[in-house]
Amino acid sequence: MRNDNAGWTGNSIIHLEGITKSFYLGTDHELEVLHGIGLEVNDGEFVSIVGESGSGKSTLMNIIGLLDHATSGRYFMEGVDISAVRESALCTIRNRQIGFVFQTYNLIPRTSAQKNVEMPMLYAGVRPQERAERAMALLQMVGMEDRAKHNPDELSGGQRQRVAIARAMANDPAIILADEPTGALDSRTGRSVMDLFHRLHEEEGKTIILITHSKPLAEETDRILTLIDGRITREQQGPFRAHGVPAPDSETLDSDPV
Amino acid sequence: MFFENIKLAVSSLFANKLRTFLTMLGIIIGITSVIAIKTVGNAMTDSVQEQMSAFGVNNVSISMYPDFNNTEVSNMDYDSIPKEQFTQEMLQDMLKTYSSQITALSVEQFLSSSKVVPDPDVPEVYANIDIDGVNSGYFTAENITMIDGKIFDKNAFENGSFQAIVSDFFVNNLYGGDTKKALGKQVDVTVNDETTETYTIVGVYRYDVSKMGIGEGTATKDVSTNFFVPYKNAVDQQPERQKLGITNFTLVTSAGTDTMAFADDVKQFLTDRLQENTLYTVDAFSMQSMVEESKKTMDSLTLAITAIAAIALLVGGIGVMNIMTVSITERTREIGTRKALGAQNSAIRGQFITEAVILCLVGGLFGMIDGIIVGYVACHFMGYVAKVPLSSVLIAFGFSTAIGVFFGYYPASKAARMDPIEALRYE
Ligand SMILES: Nc1ncnc2c1ncn2[C@@H]1O[C@H](COP(=O)(O)OP(=O)(O)OP(=O)(O)O)[C@@H](O)[C@H]1O
Ligand SMILES: [Mg+2]
Repeated sequence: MRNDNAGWTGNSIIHLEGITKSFYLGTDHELEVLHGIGLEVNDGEFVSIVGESGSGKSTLMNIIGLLDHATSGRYFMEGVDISAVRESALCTIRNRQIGFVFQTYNLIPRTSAQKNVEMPMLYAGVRPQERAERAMALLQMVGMEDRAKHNPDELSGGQRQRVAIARAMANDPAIILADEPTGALDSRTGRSVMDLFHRLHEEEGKTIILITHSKPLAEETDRILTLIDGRITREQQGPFRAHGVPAPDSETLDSDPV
Repeated sequence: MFFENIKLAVSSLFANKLRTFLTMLGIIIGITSVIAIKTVGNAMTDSVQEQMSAFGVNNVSISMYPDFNNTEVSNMDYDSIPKEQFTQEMLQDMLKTYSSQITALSVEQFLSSSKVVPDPDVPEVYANIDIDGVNSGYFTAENITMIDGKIFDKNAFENGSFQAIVSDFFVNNLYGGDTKKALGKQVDVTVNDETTETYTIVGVYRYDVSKMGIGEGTATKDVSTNFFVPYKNAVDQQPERQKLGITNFTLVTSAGTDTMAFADDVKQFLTDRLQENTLYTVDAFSMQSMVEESKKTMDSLTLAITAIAAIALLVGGIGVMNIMTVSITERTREIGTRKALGAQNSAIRGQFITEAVILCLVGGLFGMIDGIIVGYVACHFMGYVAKVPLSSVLIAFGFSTAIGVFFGYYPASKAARMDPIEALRYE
């Protein structure tokens, strides 16, 4: 159901317009965390979001990932006006179109790596046989096939994150959202996880939005958005752009530090 | 999805074995009592039914005895209480008054137990007997089936002849089961280990095992069966009994008679006739009244234990609810993650309800096993034959599932409604 709403024009996969988010603390104390975010992400783009702690990166990511509702503004995903979508349909979109990777891995405890990877497919109603096969293939892709039967508490942080990435890929979503996926890892492990994202981007053509505090990692992506106090203050083209898709509203400010 | 939920539930319950077990206790106790009551209750009902069929549904048993509620009687030495009896005149009057309701009057006088050994040189051929003097109405009241020969004739009853009607067991033991051979045979019977009398066999009846029962561990060969003789014959041999006369008898009522009302009527009638002797009281007792009586006891017992079971199940259910709430709080991040992965609210709810139901079902299974054991032990001590009702299984599983769904629903819904962001941020 493509909407023909005014304001949405292009073929971007994510289109945000004047998104604000307020938290209500107490009865009439309101805290606005995002102040009118506008953002376009094209299909197949690898975008990174940087910014100080508390600048609203995760809040924005949660809205993009349909885990949270914006207080005002408009959000189209693949042309669909999200504000018009029912809660249960949002679950389905999260399930099929979005893969989450968290800083804290968030694997389901007491559940094997393979079962964790199968989880999104379970909720999508994929048959057990097919689930198992695809889970094994994904674990192989992230180099974790020999740990398929291990529970999360038997895996290292880097291994857990690999399993989590395999899980994010389970239903072959168009978009991968990763909130500081390397934040809890040492730089070498972080590097290998980052390489995985590049592979998903280049080989699988995934649209990836990555939140990171690491400037070098951010600079590897197509586009860097800097968030300060709930506003996107800067957009930069990264030096190693893989697809060459021009970002619609980007201004190139290579000289500025991130 | 359903099987995945079950696997998940089992693994999460296993992760906290002690907690799981403690939570189950309430359910276990509740189901145990439910099953135990059912088992004992059924055994009691069966036993009452058995007695009922043994006694005869249409029978009213009447007896008189010194009224011990009367202080005059209770202060007396038993032997000094003047004897009283139902006179022939009273009985005739009664039969006349209630002729349309009474089909037979049955009296019985036990004489002696004995062992018949036809040939002292062959001691392994023998039969145990209880010599019992009966009138013709007895055969109707007790529903005795004759296999061969016939009931004593009028003369035999009136004269108290030395004739006998023996059981098929007796014939099996002494005559190899050949009733024709038994009929007309004369058997020597030692009465009260003193005198030996010779009886002529005139009939053979079928011994009803279900009615009389066979003592535990008793071989069929050793069963002591009734050796019926004319009532007068039994009384004549006990002069001291003769003086006492008839103090109890059984009436067979015609079909369609309200035995309970009839029993009351007859009791009143006979009490009126005994007016001059206030030391005695008459009791009339119908099967129906016994059934009512035992029903009342059973109902109050069932009510009491059911209340306990209900409380245990309620407490158990609340325990399940509590532990589910705790478990859901502990697993808040997991729930947030599942939602982020696209789980519908219904899937989350289903997962936790399944967990609650499995918790209760396992508790129910233990409770069922315990309940059967407790039921058996209780029946054993109360002298009933325990039979595990099939409905026990259904009750155990039905109740457990219902409790799981009922008390699991609220916490599971709470989990389902969790805000994914808050759940993911939960520390
Ligand atoms: N549920 C909430 N209730 C109230 N305030 C909130 C809530 N969630 C976020 N905030 C506030 O919103 C602001 C932005 O938070 P957010 O988590 O988006 O920051 P961030 O950029 O992701 O920071 P970090 O880099 O540390 O993860 C913070 O000031 C935070 O206190
Ligand atoms: Mg954050």
